[in-house]
Amino acid sequence: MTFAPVVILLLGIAIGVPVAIAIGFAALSFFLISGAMPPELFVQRIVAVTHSFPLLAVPLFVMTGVVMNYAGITSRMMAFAEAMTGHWKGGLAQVNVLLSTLLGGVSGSANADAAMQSKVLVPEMSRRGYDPAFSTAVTASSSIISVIIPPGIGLVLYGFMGDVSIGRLFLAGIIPGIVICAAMMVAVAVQARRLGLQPVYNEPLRWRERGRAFAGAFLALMVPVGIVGGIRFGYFTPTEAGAMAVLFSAIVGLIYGELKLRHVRPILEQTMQATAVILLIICAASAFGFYMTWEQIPRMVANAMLALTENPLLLLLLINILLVVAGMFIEGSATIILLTPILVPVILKVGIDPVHFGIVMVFNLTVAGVTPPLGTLMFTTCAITGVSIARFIKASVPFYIVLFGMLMVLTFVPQLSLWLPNLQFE
Amino acid sequence: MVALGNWVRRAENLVSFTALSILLISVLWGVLTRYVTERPAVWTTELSGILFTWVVFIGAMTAFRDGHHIRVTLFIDILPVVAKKVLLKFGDILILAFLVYVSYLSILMMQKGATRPSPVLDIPFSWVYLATVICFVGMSITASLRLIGVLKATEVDLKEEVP
Repeated sequence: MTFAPVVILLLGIAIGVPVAIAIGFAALSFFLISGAMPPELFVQRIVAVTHSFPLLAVPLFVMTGVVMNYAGITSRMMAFAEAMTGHWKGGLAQVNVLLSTLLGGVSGSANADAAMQSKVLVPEMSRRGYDPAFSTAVTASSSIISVIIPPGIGLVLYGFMGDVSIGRLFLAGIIPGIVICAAMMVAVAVQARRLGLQPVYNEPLRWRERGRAFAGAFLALMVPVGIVGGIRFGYFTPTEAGAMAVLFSAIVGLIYGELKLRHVRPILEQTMQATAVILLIICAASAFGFYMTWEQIPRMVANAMLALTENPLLLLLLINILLVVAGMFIEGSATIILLTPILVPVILKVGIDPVHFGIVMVFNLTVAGVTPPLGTLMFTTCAITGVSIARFIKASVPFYIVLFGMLMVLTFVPQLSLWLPNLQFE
Repeated sequence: MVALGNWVRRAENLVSFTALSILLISVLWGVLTRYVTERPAVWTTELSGILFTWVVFIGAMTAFRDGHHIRVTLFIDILPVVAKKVLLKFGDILILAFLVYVSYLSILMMQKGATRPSPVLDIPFSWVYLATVICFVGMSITASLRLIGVLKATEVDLKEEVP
């Protein structure tokens, strides 16, 4: 009977019950089967989550990204990215990658980033003769960078579920984000040469013009610096940083004169849509987590995995394979919520730093978003650009190689993630 | 029917949007008072927690009606059409049973919470659980309307709604 809720959960997901409800159903079944406590405590468990201050960061960081779009900050960032890389072969594709990295510092969600770029950049790329399948593949793959660059919702969720410092996780993401950006740009450059893609400008822009583009994007570029710095120096918690970022981007929008009162409603609407779904899963998962703790399942999993191997490197490889498989079937943030409490005790036992593991895990599950069969980023971008999934996958192969290569690098070079947080926090 | 639907949506939006806005202001107020005044406001964390419950559950209710909740249809998609329909129907019945039962549990919690005020603001916890009652009752209604075919069945949709 111990594993009955797990079986119920898997069956529920398999027959197409919404993931949040399947998790809730499984958790409730534990309260009913065990009879150890009154079933209404199930409701108490799911509500208790919403009273946790750290999780408030999720809607606030989502809102920051939405406000940025309306405030005209996104378009200024794009102008800056274009001024820097526009003269390269395949310039717009490079803009696409660079923009994802810059935007990563303001919006916490790869999905929002991918959707925006599919709407704005891909049509422009098609106009200049790029293959839409290639453009869509670049958009989806590069949006993964925004998850690792702080602030990222995946990192907030991991930190919350695994009881790991969100401030350290944010710092840890910076260098891996830049490295992945560089790797993607190399891949794009190679592909651009092969496909003979046109640059935007025939020669590099003068530094004066670049300076002007930089000035336009300057305030926006300060947001991630302010967030990470503010958390690092103890001015505010990640949640408060989220609220400050919303306030700051709203003020910038007013200075630019692009943010209007009529934008308030769509901003609230889009924030609600993006957060309610994730948070209901977290609420249900918290009740499910109660069951797992009660039955000591994380310890059982830890012992089973450690019986296989106690070598940290092998263990990381095993967990990565497990996550790739899990990511094929369940959406990334849901997987983070479900598996973090199970996996963190395992890696702690063999002495892997949970901050390093967080970067690996979140990146791994986001990469799953661009690979078949269930890739939310793939579906989002293809739905907007109208490229078929088959052509998308074919165009994505070089980027798959880069992303999985980077996954291995992040996994086996912990210094990339840990250097900055260790430097700052000691 | 359509008018009623619109009216419900407007009410939901009014509640959830207001809660989200006040939540944002209250977190900001918490930061500002800490640096500007001598006595930081202690109620902001508590108020934002209570409002967060409303944001999540009312938002979840709207998302349920719009069919936005993440689901995995990979396995049922490869089944023959009849089997797929039967399984989806079966799933819908399970969902409804779950929602109705959780509505009942929420009402129980709401009754219990009436006598338990929150530490700083003295707001009874029944106000917190009222959000879950509304959410699960609302979702139950949606699920039953869907089951008897008044509302269109959830489209099998894997994409997340994105801004």
